[in-house]
Amino acid sequence: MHSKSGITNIEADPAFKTELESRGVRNLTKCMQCMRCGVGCPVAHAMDFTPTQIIRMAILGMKEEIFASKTIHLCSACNTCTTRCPMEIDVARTMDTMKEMSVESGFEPAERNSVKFNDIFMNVVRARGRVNEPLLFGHYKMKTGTYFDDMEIGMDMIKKRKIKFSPKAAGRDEVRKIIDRFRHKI
Amino acid sequence: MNSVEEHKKFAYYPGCSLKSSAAEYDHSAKAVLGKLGVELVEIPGWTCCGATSAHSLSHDLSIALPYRNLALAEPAGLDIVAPCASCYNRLKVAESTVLSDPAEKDKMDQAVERSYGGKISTLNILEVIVDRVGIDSVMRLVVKPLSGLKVVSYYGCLLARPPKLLGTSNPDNPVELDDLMAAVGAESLFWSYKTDCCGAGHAMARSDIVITLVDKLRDMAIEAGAEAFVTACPMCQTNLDMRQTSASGERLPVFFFTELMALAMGMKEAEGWLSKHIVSPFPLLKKLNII
Ligand code: SF4
Ligand code: SF4
Repeated sequence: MHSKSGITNIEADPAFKTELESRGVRNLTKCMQCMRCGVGCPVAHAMDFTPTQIIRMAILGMKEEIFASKTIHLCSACNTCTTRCPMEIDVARTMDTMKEMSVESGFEPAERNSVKFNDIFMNVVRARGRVNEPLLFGHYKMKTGTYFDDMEIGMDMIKKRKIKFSPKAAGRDEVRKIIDRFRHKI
Repeated sequence: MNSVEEHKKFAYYPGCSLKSSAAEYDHSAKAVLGKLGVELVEIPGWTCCGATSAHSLSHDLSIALPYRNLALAEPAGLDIVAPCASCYNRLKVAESTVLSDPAEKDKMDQAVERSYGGKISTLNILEVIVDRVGIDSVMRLVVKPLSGLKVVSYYGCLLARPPKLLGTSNPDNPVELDDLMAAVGAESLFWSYKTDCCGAGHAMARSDIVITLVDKLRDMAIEAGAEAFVTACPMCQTNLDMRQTSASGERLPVFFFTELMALAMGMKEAEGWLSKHIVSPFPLLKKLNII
């Protein structure tokens, strides 16, 4: 929110940091903004906030801005940041935790297709116990309307017989129970 | 069973990719391990490890899905080998998480209705070949050294990080693939991108990110003097094989390291596996008289 003076007023949520801690995020407030996480992040070029900025925003409790950001969805979980952080902050886990919280709270994600993909992936695993690539790709394209993206690659895969229908797994009922217990439907 | 045999017997977790788009990795891994005297027993009733999608949606789910597989494997008393870098990563992270946190283990026991107590452990396929079998045994089986083949070894993220949970000794500069390539007569060139990210699970929703990262890897591989990539990760292989753009340069073939080992061991089946690759490796292999 911008005031007349041009100074940004942050609507901070002081409980945000506590919530992250209760979900297993450690050492957050030790961040000294050294920027190692941001500088080494391979996806920073596509993000709206660098991982360094996001960590600061998390400490300040800028929940809305974080949930609305591309950053939490574009993190590829490469764990470069986590490996390099001198203060032992698990930045990648923090990204995942905030992504999980944003999905739980029903926030409209900035990267809708990424969230959809993960949800559809889990639907397929829930139904079959294992990933079935033709079903995953087909459902994803239907749900996102991206029929014509990657047509050439799809044809290549079919020609090379890279796409196969794999059978259902015997343990799929157990997998269904596990997924239903922990997943938040979008 | 005496201890020597037991040492080379493993529970096999293929994972979903190896049963579909990366079938050539499944076949070549089994063939090479078999040749090296490693016995594999597929985990009965294994299910998906959750991959990238589970941990993007729920931390608990990302532990519970691999936990089920750890629990299924434990009664047989054999360590697990998971050739897929992503499956290995998820199984190992689950293992470290529950073994260091009793509350987490209790939660998983309840949710999964099965229990894993840490009697067995998960290894990646490089650890099995390099540490358990040994490079010497590999060298003894080489009948057709891959002379003249210049590759860069690409480990990606998932075999190396996070080192605390995986127990990786050298996350910035792993050498196992390089050593194996040298053992089969190929030249594995030095480059600084061994453990850089290929864009991983963004392939569907944000392929632009994958293309940017993959083209960078390709450019750096060419700068290092390589004519091909070698990898131990189905996700890296798929992204590199499918997403190199031809506009800014040539597309390099992307081998699973087990395919190259099989070629050096004179296995005829290798050509069938290689025919599934999108960037054909045949012109390069023919030029070098490898096939
Ligand atoms: S690397 Fe760690 S300490 Fe440095 S800015 Fe990132 S989170 Fe903060
Ligand atoms: S784990 Fe995510 S935030 Fe950290 S470096 Fe990798 S992509 Fe960037």
